[in-house]
Order: sequence, then C-alpha cells, then structure tokens
Amino acid sequence: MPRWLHPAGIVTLWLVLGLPSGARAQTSIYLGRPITSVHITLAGQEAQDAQIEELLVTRVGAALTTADVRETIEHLMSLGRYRDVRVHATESAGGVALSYELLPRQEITEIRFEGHLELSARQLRSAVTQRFGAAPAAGRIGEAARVLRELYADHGYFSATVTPRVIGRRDTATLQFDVEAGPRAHIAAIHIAGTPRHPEASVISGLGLQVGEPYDAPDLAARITRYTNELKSEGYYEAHLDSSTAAGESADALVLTVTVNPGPHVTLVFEGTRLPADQQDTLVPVQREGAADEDLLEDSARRIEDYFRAQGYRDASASFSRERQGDELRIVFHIRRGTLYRIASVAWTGAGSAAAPQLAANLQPRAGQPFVQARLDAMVAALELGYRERGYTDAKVVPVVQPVDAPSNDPPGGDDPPAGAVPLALRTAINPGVRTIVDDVALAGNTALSGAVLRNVLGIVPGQPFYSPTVARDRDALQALYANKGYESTTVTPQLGFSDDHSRVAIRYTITEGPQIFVEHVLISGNTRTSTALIERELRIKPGEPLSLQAMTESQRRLVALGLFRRVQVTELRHGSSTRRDVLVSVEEAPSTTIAYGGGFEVEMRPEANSETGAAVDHLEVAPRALFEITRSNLFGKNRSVSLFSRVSLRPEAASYVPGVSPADQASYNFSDYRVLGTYREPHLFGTSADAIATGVMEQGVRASFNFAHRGASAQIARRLSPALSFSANYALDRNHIYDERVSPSDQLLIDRLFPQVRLSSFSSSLVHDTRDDAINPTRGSLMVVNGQVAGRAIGSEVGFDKTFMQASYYRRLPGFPNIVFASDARMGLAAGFPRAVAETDADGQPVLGADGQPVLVEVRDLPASERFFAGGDTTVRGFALDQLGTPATIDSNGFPIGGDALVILNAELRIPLWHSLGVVGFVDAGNVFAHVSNLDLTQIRGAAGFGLRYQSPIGPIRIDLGFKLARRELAPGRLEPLTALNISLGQAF
Amino acid sequence: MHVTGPRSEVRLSGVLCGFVSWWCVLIAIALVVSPVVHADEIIDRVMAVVGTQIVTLSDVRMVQVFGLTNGPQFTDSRPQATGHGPQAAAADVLQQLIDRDLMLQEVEHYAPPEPDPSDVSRALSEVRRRFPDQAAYDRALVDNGIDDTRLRAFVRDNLRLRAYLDERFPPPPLPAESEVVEYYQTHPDEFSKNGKALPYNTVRDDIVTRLTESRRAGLIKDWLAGLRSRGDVTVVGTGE
Repeated sequence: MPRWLHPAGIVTLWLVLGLPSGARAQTSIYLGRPITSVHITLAGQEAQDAQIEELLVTRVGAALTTADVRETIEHLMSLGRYRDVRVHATESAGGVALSYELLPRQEITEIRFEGHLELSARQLRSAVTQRFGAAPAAGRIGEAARVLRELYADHGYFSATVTPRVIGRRDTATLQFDVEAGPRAHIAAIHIAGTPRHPEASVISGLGLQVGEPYDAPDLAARITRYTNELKSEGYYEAHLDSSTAAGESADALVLTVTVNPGPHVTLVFEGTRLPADQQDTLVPVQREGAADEDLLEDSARRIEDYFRAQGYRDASASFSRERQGDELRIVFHIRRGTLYRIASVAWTGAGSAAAPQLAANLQPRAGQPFVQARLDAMVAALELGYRERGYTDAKVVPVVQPVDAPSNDPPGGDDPPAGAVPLALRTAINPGVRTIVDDVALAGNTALSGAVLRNVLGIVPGQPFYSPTVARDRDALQALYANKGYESTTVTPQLGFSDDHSRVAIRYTITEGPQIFVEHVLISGNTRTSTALIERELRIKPGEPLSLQAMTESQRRLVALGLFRRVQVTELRHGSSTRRDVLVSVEEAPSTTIAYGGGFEVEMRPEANSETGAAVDHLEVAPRALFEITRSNLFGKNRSVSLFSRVSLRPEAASYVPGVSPADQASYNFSDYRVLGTYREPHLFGTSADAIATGVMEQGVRASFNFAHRGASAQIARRLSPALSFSANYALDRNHIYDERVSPSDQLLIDRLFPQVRLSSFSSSLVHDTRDDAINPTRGSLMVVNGQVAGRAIGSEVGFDKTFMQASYYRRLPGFPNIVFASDARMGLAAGFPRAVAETDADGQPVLGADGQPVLVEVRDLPASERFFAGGDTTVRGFALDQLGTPATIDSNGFPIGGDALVILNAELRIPLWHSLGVVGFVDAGNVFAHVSNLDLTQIRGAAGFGLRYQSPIGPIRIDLGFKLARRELAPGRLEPLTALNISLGQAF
Repeated sequence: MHVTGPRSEVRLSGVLCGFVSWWCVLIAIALVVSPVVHADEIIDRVMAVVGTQIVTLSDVRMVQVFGLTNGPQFTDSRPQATGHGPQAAAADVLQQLIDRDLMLQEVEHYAPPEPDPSDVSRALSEVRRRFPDQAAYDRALVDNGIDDTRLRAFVRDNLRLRAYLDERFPPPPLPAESEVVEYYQTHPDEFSKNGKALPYNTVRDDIVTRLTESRRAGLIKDWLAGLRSRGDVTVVGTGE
C-alpha cells in the first residue's frame, strides 16, 4: 500500500489542509456570499421577536457584509438588554446561514454581603449604592470593591479583604461581596503636638479621645471639627487641627498625633464712625464665619463703605489693620463716614433730555434724596440701555455732580463731620447720537428652508430701530429652527453693514446649513408590561423623519405624562453614518399596582336638633374616617386602569334626629357614612384622543337635614382639547334614597314626600379651562368650569330637571409680595324642575281627595333633595355651619336647610406663609341659596369673614378656619344665629 | 492476490476487514471534526462596552488592518504589538480601543479644536500607503465594513485626541543632567554599536527625549487609569 494511503498520513494531510475555521485569520470566507437564512437565539433558545427582527440590517438574499453585521450588533446592543451579541455564519446551500446569538444582560437586582463584616450591611450597601446606584454596572464592580476597602480602612480595618462576585440567574444577578474585615486597629497612644492652649490631657479629654478605643477616621474628623468650632467660638478664629497616625508596636496598634494650632485670640475693634451694633455681624461676619482671613476682612471693609455710601455718605471709607500682641490679634476697622450729600436739584441737558425722565422713571434721583453713586450709576446704565433699545447705538449719558455750596472740610483723622448735608446739583447730559434704523434684512445660503419660513422667526424687520442683542436672538432663533428640522450643525453668521453716517444698517444672515440628519430606527427598551404600540403612539419621532430636538423633548414629555414610567430617557445614537441616527427610548416602568390608605378625622359644624324644641343648633362634630384605595394601572400594557376607592366615617351617637322620638328614647347607634367608588379608565377610546371612564358608586351619607343612600353608575367620555381646555360628556343612572329627614313636615317639599326614593337618569356635559399651576394648592392661574345636566322622564328618570353650574377661580401672587397669594372664586348654580302632575298628599303621606273623591293633582317643579343646592360649610361660606346658609324660603322653621334651585357663592382669600410650612389666611365669603331661579336676588347675599391657619403637609394643606357672620339673623325671638363656625379639613377651601 | 486455500482466505479477510475498519473510524472522526461540513464561524461579536459605545471584533480587525493604533497616543499609523502572537496583538488593540473611547468621551466635554483638513488628508494618505494599490485598499474597506468617510472620521478623531493630549500634557521639564547620566549608565545595551558603547555626547539628546517622553507617557497612563476607574467599562471578549 502506498505510504500516502496510510490512514495516519491521510489524517495528517487533512489536519494540515482543513484548518478549523474558528481559528481563521482576519477576513471571513463568507463575506460577499448571499444570506440564505437569519436566525435569532436568546440564551440558547430560538427566539422570534418582531422588534428584534426589525433591527436586523442583514437580510435574506442580500450579500453578507461586515458593515451590515456590525450595524446590526450596534442596534441590538442599543436596546440595553444584552451583554453580548455573537454572529455565527454557517455554510448552507447557495450561501451562508446567519445566526444571531443574544446573551441576555444580567441586571443586578440584589446586593449581598457575606463573611465577617464588622460594619453593618446597611452602611456597606449605602456606600455602594450612593456611588454606583442600586444596580451597579458590571464594569464598575471592581471599583465598588475598592470603595468598600477604603471604607473599612477609614474605620480601622486596614487589612480587610473585599472580593466581589456576580451570581447570575437567567437575566438577573446578585452582586455578592465576600468580606473578611480582619482585626480592627486601636489607638495605642495619643500625642498632642503644636501649640495647644491647654495641657495635653485636657485637649485629649476635650477631643473625647481615649487610649484603647478603636480607630475610626470619620469619627475622629467629627471630633476635631467640633473642637475646632469650640475654639473659634472662643475667638480663636484661625484655629486649625490636624491628625496623623503611625504604626504602633503591634500590627493593629496606632499612635495618633493631633496637631493643635489655635492661632491668636482675635478681637474686633471699630474706630472712627460708630457702626450700629445690629449691623456689625452682618457687615463684618468674622464671628459668624469663624474666620479672620484677609479676603473676609477686605470684603468686610468694602461692605462697610457700601453701607454708608448707600445712605448718602459718598466719601465713606473703611480700612482695617491687624495688631498682633503675643497671642492676641486685634483687628481694628478704621471707619470714616465723611460728609452727607443730598441732591438739591436734578436737571437734564442734551438732545435726548426730553425722554430721559420717562426712561429713568423708577431710578431717577429726586431732590432731597441722599446722593448714592451706585443708584446714579444704575440710572445711567438704564438710560443708555433704553436709548440703545430704541436704536441709538452710541447713546452716552454723562452725569455731572456739583456741590451747590462749598463742602464742609472734615477735620483729618476720621471724626464725624459736622451736622448738615452738602447739597449737590445733578446735571445729566444726554447725547443719544445717531439713531440707526434697520434698512434691510437679508438671508443667504439657505436652500432647505425658504426665506419666508425663516423670516417668520426673525424679530427684526426693516424699518425698526436697530438693537444689537436682537441680532443674536434672531441668529439663535434661526439655528433653533434648523435644529428642529434635523440640521444639527447649521451655523448662522450675522453681518452688519452700516451706512456712512450710521443712520441705517443692513443685516445679512449667512447660513451654512450642513447635512440634515434623519432618524433611521426608533429603538424602545425597558418596557415589559407596557405595549410598544402605546409608547410609539406618544412619540413625535418617526423613522425616516428629520431628527428634531423639539420632537425628542416633546416625546419625552408625553411619555412622562402617561404616568406609567418612573424614568424616561430619549437619546440619539450615532452608528457610523453621518446623516442617520437611531433614537433610543429607554423607560423604567412604575409599579402597576398602587395601594393608598389613610385615616384621620373630619371636624365641622353641623346643625343638630335641640332635644326640647327640635330647633337646629350648630354643633361641632368630630368624625373619624379611614380610606383605602387600590389601583391597577397599565392593564394589558395599554394604559388602562381600574381602581377601587373606599372611605368610611363614623358619626357619633345622636348624629341623626328621628322625628317624633325624643333623643332620650333613641337607641344609641353609630351611623357610618361611606363611599365605595369603582372606576375603569380606557384611554384613547377606539383609537381616538378621547378617554372613556366608567364609574360605579355606592354611598351613604349625612347632610344637615337628611341622611341619604346613593347607588349609581355613569359612563363618561372626556377629551383634552388643549393643554388647558378639556371637555367631557356623561350619562348617569342614579337611585337616591332620602331618609331621617330633619326638616319639619310642614316645611317639607311635596316632591320629597312623594319621592323619598327617586331614580334619576341624566345626561351632562362639562367644559373646563384650567391654567392653575397646582390643582391642590394653586398659587397662580385660573379655573373655569361650566357644567350642564338634563334629567328626563323620557330617558328613564322619575323626575325631570335641568341644572347648570358655573365656577370661575383666579389665583395670583401679590405684586411686591411674591409669597402672598390672592385667591378668589365665584360660583353660580341654576336649576329648574320640569313640571309634573302628581297627586297631592297630606303630612301623613295620604292622598288628598277632592270634592269628587279623586286625588287632587298638583304640579310640582321642584328638584329632589339630592339635586338641590346647599350652601354653608368649609368649602362655601365659612361663617355658616354645613348647609345652614339660605333665604328663609330655603330654611325650615326649625332652622334645618331645605335647599334651593339657585345658588350664588363668592370667595376671596389672602394666603400668607408664616414660617416653614405654617401659614395664615384671611377670607371674606358671601353667598346664598334661593328657592327658585326667579328668587335670585343679589341684595340678599349674606357675608362672612374670618381667618384660618394652614399647615402644608406632604399630602396637601391642612386648614383650620374660623368664620364670623357679618350680619346675624334672628332664628327665634331673642335668639340670633351663632356668630362663628369652625371648620378643620384637608385641602384649600376653593 | 494469490488465493491458496481456506487459511489464506481467512488471512486475506482479516487484512481487508482491518483496512476497512481503520478507514471507517478515521472517516467518522473526520466527519465529526470536519471544519468543511460544520463551518460555524463567529464573524463578529461584542468585545467591550465602554459607557454607551461598543467595541466589536470587526473594530479590532479594522484597526489592525489599517494600522490605526499605537499605544495611548495612537495618532501614528505604525503598528506596535506589545505581546506575542496574533491573539496578544488583538488583545492589545482591544485595550487601546477601550482607552480611546474613554478619552473621546472625556474630550467631548472640552470641544477640542477641529484639526486642519490637510492634516487629516495627510494622515489618511499614510494609511493608504500600507496597501500595494488602490484595489487592495478598496477591498480592505469593504471587507472591514467601513468606507472612506468613516475612516476619515476615525483619523480625524485621532488627531483631535492628539491635540487634546498635547494641550493637557505638555512636555514636562527637561530632566536633570544627573538623571540623563544615570540613564546612560544603567542602559548600556541601548547605547552600544557592534559591541562598543557609544559616546555619551552623541546619545545625550536621544536620552533626554526618551526620558521626557517616558514621563509624559507616565502622566497620560495615570490619567487613563483614572478614566478607567471612573468609567463604565465591561470587557466581554478577549481579542481573539
């Protein structure tokens, strides 16, 4: 057999020739060959993800190129989900098969410390998370271990070892630090060096140090700082302490040396003009700063001069000297106030003098005022600016100050000058110069954007006075316009061509547009529950469109406004190409389930029946309450939400008055009022911009004159027409039950007797314009609401009516007092019942029969009690208890409110902050309830005034209001209405 | 073959079986390990992540092919491998690219001046000269997934980095004469020719240059170490 046929020889030949392709050098044999298939594997499993497939640049049928493969890797890594992307190429029939192996990034979700820690895990975790975040990046783990070693060294564990490990699961990992703290160094000896004022033992005691205690660098630094501050408080403002350590006899022993340099004892002395005691610390803050260095003393001298010059002593001077005597340092301030100067007369000269007083209105000095150079300089600057803004580019304002009488000669040495001020004549010469008018504004170099589009953003137009800052503003506006069209490197160079006499100027903007950048891919990462389609809907950047900074910012704002994400970041990614960029949208989802709970109490004035007379008596009621709410948002990733809110309050015994039964005979019971509200919200109903809200409610509550139970369901469609304007339409089906009425039967409305339970079916709509800066505690803006409601028997309502409610609120900070907020509000409600013929009943509820024995029919037009207007209480007119405001026709003979069809409320309030979160308010409220719209009479409006306290808690303002009626009505002969009403609640009154 | 009877037949069959068996085993081994049939090649992958930038295997190859790196001051196109073998060279290039990305991220904060276009063109010409002809150069561009524009941008960034380093790390003060002499005395092998030591005067300037450059390189190295410790760097591959 030939030797070459020997199997070993054949194998050797094959090994030489058939080199494993994994070890092949630079260029792959597959480049240029057609791609026959593309697979994606994720953590070893075949994966099919439309979003990933969209990012693949390599396509089946196309030739395999390195550029396409690299770009695909860059796209996939931009998602932030993978730690590695490996591209495998395999021979296949007719070309090459590609496989993208995605290795998931392991996000660190837990940080753990094991071993002999000695320091608390909390302290260690804080050191890591403060520097590297809760999820340190893989590349910084070594740095984190170094930080921990430094922390241990600071606390005396000089031989501590910290070894980081990443213990990975599928796509999450635990970062574990294996710690061996080792022995802790202790202080074996303490030496005091330097020039301490006290014996060594006393200094050691003052520092709180002890031999044998463990070494702790931060603790030592704190003690040194404390000791230094004590020295400074004793007048040793230049005190300085240092510490150093040296190895002791054993490995864990340290010799600590503290070098104490107290410096001289500093005394401040003021010579010459007396400086008011209350200004000394402000102008010379040596004691406050605990320092007496040159810079501080020079600043102090300057402040003293400014202080006196601001009072008219224009020649005031202050200097300081340092006199050292042993351990004492005497800092002497030599102050010479000089002569007081007053302005005797003000005159204007020059071509522009006519306009000067108007231009310098607020800054113009007036005769009799002290002369202050700084104010004069400010006036000159303001005048020159005013002229330049009007086109006088070379305007000059030259003030000349001349004594009217000869100035008194101050004796040398700095004694205070004799009494009396030196009068000065101020003559200001104004030379405005030539007024320059813009002759022409030209644009050159623009090809992508037309001149008409560019001129829309220009502030300067021909014929206007020329003012150079507007040229810069227009340049910036042009560049911003281009940037928002994708031209990120556009430069705009303005050139000015003045006429010979400077009366005219031609402005030319030369534009170098540069390349236009387009969005290639929009990559979305971080969403696990939220659907990608929902995110894409909010984006204002689309593939293929120019890359606009404004669009990126707006996209980020819209995503944040969804309320689904804790963090949103929109960034551009550069991948090789100079004109194409990818945009990466990274989101961090907020928890989808939120639970809120709380408790508190409600305090308000309520009418309660007098046990003997049955008359309404205002009574302060305290009712504990609790609430619970659970919300699940982002249902199915579509930003849908469902929430359940419940609140319950316990009313004290005898809160309700049972007619015909004396309170003494009443079985004591606790009445609870509750509200359970379930809401489902569907945003973008059927792909429109309208949101749909379905609500179901069950509640039971107490009003002043009745208790009620309410069951209802409603469906609402709301749409935001603009950032401030929204519209909603609503259908509601309610069943209301009124019981335990306190209104005397003779005053009770027929409709309430006939319909103690009433079914209402109504349509309503609202228009809201809201520009308030804060819905809970507004300080500026306005709120306007118009609401209309119609209930009809034709749509299933037992009682028909129409009702309108309007509200206008306005808030603003007071000019000159920016911390004080003025709030005002006006409300009007108008309602009318549709006529309905019903059988009349007597007080016992029996039908009244006519002469023919048939029930007497009467027409009722009233609204049921649940729909009538009431006023009085903590959110309406605060001098009145709950619902106790009304005309005599709306209050029964015992003083219990009946309610009415018309309502007017006016409020005005000043909200003044006092100290930190505490504030006070003063208010004036007015209003009334009228039986019918036809009874509305503004002259019958009743008023109340009062004051209150506010505490800005983390959940909103807590308020206590005490209102006083401006005029009290006589309830019964000799008995007036109570003067005051006290309310305690959460939130503003309006 | 001469068949003489049953014993011969048995011996013949045994030889034939042995021959066939050997070949079967070898063919099976060849099929299992054959790179021709199961030619799975990793043609690209992530080698490192520096902040938000990634360094791929193709980036490492590209830099090697075009000779675009040379230590931290990789503005010259002379290749300089610090290890032995292609793997060590690739690992070296990877580390230099990581340093380069860290420096570029740092330098972007200070907006260094744009290099003169003629300097960029000159540097690009030096890169082109590594290739025998234009066709080879064009082929290298395609094979490495870049075009002239991207290569030009890479060279431009190299020049920007050089300008920044020159400004931030100007030449340190000249070494003292005693240092120069000490260096001459402690490195005799570097200053000898044909076994004879070169006179001090003839190599003094060279020593001064080496010491100065060494000090400057040390400062840059310390600065780079600081960037690494503060930066977010994850090395995924090893440069193979």
